[in-house]
Amino acid sequence: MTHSLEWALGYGYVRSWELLHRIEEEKLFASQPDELIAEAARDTLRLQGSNIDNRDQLLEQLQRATSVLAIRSGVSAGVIPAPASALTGLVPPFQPLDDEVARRLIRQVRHAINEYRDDRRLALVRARNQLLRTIVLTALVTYQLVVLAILAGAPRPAFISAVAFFLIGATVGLFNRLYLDASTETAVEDYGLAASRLLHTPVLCGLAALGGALIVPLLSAQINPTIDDSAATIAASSLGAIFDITQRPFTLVLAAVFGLTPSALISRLQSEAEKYKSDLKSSETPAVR
Amino acid sequence: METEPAAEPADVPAPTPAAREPIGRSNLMTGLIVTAPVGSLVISVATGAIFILGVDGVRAVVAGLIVGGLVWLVMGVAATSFLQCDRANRSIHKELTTRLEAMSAGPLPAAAERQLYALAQELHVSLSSDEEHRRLITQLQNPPR
Repeated sequence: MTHSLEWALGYGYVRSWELLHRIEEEKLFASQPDELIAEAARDTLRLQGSNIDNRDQLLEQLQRATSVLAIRSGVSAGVIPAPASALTGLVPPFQPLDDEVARRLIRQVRHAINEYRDDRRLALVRARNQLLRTIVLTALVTYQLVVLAILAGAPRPAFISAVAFFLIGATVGLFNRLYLDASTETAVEDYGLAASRLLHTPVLCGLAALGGALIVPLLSAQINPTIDDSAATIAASSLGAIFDITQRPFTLVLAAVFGLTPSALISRLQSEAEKYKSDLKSSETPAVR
Repeated sequence: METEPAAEPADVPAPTPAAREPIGRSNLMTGLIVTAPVGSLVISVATGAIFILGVDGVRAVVAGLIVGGLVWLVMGVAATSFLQCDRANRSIHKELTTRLEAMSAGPLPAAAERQLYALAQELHVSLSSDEEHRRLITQLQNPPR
C-alpha cells in the first residue's frame, strides 16, 4: 500500500494511534510515582464506564498496583477508594521489585485500554473501506444494467421511466437516511464511515426501487392469468408497459415503497458502527466523555 | 530531550524529475482509487445521459465511458491534493498532533523519544526540543545587545 493511500484509506491514522499509544505506555512506565498514581486514577475512571472485557480484573490489578506505589511513596491514594479485597495480601514494607511490578501492572492496564480503543478504530476503518468496495461493485453492476438496456435497444421513454424509478427510490432512501441519522452519535470520529453509508444509500435504494417496480407488476401478471392468455406475451408486452409512467403512474408509488426496503440492511450496518463508536466513547478520558 | 541533528540544507538531495514522476503517478493512482465509488457512478450517469440525449447503441456506451472516465480522472487529480496525512482527515490529524505535542512535554525514555520524533516527522509536526527551549530561555534572559 502506498503512503498516500494509507492515509486516504485511514489505516495510517490507526497505525499512528498505535505507535503513539506505545510511546505513551513507555512514558507512563518511566513516570514519577505521583504522576503514575494520578494516571492510574484516570484509568480507573476510564475502565469503570467502559465495555472492556476483563474490566473487573483490570480494575483490581490497577488498584493493587496503585496501593503498592502509594504506600512505597508514602502518600495516601485517597483518590481511589480501594476495596478491602484489592488490598488483601499486600503487606508493607515493599521492596524495589514490588515497585517495578506495580509499574508494569499499570502499564499493562493502560496497554489493554489502548489496544481496545485501537481495535475499535481499526474496525471502523475496515467497515468503511469494505463499504466503499461494495459501492464500487454495486455501481459497476448498475453500469452493466445501463449498458445492457442501451445495447438491447430499449425505447427512450422506457429508459427515462427506469431512471425516474431509480431516482425516486434514491430520494426516498436518502430521506430515510436522514431519519436514521437523527439517532447517531456524532461526537466520536467514525473515520468516514457515515459519509460512505450516505453514498451507499442512493445506489442501493435506487436499485431496490427499480427491482420492485419491475418485479411486482410482472408477478401480479403471472399470478393473475386473466390479464393475458399466454405467459410469453405477458412478459414481452409487460416490459415495455411496466416502464411507461404515463400508462402506469402507480409504479412510482411501488418504486418509493421499494426504495425503503434496504433500510433494514442499512440500519444493521449503522448499529454495528454505533457499537464501535459507543465503545470508543465509553473508554475515553472522563473529562472528554 | 534528544533531537536528531538538523540536516544542513546542502545535505538534502533535491528530488530529480525522474524521482518525482513515480510519486506523481502513484498519487494519481491513489486519487483514482479513492474516488472510485463516485467515479464508477459517474460513468453510469454519463452513459445514461448521453443515451437520453439521442445517441444510440455502442456509440452511447463508448461516449459515456469517455465522458465519465474524463470526469473520474479530473476528480482523481483533484483528490491528490487531499492525500497527505494533514489533509486526508483534518480532525484526526489535529487530535493526533495535540496528543503528540502533549506527550513531547516532559522526560521520555530515549527509545520512546526517537519514536515520537519519527512519528512527528511523519505527521508533519515540528516539536520543539528541550535544547531549543533552553536556548530560547537563555536568549530571553540575555538579550543580544
